[in-house]
Amino acid sequence: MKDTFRKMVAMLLILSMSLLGLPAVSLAAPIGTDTLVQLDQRGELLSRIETQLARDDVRAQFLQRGVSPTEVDARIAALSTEELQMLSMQLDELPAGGSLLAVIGVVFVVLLILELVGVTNIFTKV
Amino acid sequence: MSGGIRALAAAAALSLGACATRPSVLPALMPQATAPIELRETPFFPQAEYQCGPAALATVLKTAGVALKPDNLVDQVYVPARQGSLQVELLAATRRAGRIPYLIEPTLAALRAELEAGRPVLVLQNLGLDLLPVWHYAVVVGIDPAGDQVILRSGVERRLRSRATTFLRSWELADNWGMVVLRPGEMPARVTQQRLLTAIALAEPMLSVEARKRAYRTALEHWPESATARFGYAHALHAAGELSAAEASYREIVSRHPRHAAALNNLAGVLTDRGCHTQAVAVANRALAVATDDQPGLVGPITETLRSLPASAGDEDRCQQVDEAVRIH
Repeated sequence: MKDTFRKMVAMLLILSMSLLGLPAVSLAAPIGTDTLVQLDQRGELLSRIETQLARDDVRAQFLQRGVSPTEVDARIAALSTEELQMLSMQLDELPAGGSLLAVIGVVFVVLLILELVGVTNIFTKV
Repeated sequence: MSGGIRALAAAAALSLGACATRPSVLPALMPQATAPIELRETPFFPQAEYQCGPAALATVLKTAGVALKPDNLVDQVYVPARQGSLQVELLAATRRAGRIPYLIEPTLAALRAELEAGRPVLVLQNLGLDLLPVWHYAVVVGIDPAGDQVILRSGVERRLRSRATTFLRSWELADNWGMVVLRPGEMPARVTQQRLLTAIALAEPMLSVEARKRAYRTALEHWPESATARFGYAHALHAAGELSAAEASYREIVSRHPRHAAALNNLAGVLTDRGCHTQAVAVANRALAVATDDQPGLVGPITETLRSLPASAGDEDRCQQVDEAVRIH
C-alpha cells in the first residue's frame, strides 16, 4: 500500500517535472528564409495547424493514389507550404505530365478526329 | 501506326485544301535572334511508360551535374493513379537533389536566353485541347529560326524537331511553364530578384550550409540592397557557426530596416549563442513588439525564441560594447 502510494507520487513528480521542462527543451530554431518569403501581404503565415492539416491531407491523397508509403514523407518535406495547400485542394485537377499512352478511350477517339482535321498534333509527336 | 495516321492526316489536310505554305513564326517573334542554337550535349533518357516527368527531370538535372536516372526519380515524382507527375513535385525533387529549380519568365525570349546560357529548359506541354488536355513534359534543347523549328528531347525521340507554331501552341496551353535547374550560386540568364530569392528560399531546407552560403552570396552581389538575400546569407552563416559574421549581417539588415522582425528574432538567437543573454532578451522583445504590429504570422516563432532564452546568466564582457550598437538603431 505504502509502496503504491510512493510510486504514484513519484510518477506524478516525474510527469510534472517533465512538463515543466518542456518550454526550455523546445529549441527555438531561427526563422528560415523559406518562412520569410511565404509571409503574405498582411504579414500572415499559414498557421501551424493549417499547415499540418494540409500536410496530412496531401499525404493521405498521395497514398490513395499509389505513392509508396516509404517515399511519401520525403516527398512532402520538399514542398513549400503554399505548394502543399495547392495540392491539398486540387491534386486531381492539376496537370500531371505523363506519356501519350495515358490517352485512352473516348478521349483518344475525339483527339484522333481533331488530329485528322488538323486541330491538334499529338500523333505527329509535336 | 503513326505513319498511317500521318498519311491519313496528310490526306485530310489535302482534301480540306489547307494552306500549303505556312508563314514562319520564329523570325516574326524574335527578329534579332536569327542564329540557330542547339545544346547537342544534353543527355537523353528515353521514357518508360507514362514517365516523361522523371525522364525530363533527369535530363535537366544531369546538365546541372546531378547523376540520377529516371528510375531513381520515379519514386520522387510519379503519382501512379494520375499516370504522371505534378509540376510542384518536379520542383521538390530538384530541391532534394541539392539544386535550385527556377521557373523562367513565361516567354519564348526567356526560353531562348536560357539556351544561350547553356541550360536546357524543362517545359510542360498540353498536346491536346484546353478542355481535353494531354499533359506532357519535354526538354527544349534548341531553336532553329531558319527552319522555324524548336528542338526537343521528348518521349522516345532523342531529337524531335517540332514546328514552331505547334510547339508554341502546346506550350501556351500549359501557361508557358518552363523550369531550369540552377547549381547553388548560379544565376539564370534572365532573372527577377523576387523569383530567384523565392526559389532559393524554398530550396533552403534541402540545401547544405555551403550551398546556401554560395547561393545567397551570389544573390547579394547582384542585389546588395536586398534584405531577403542578406537574411538568407546571415541564416546560413549562423548555421555554419560563423557567429560574428552572422551577427554583422543581421545587424546590417536591422540598421536599414529597423522593423525587420525576423532579422531581430534571429539576431537574438545569434546573441544567445555568443553568450550575450541580456541583449538577446532585449532584441527578442523588440522582435515580438514589431511582429505584433506588422507581421502577426511571426508572433508564434518569436514567442518560442523568447521562451527558449536561458534565464539570464551573466553576460560576457564583450557584450557590453555590442549593446551600444543595438541602442543606436
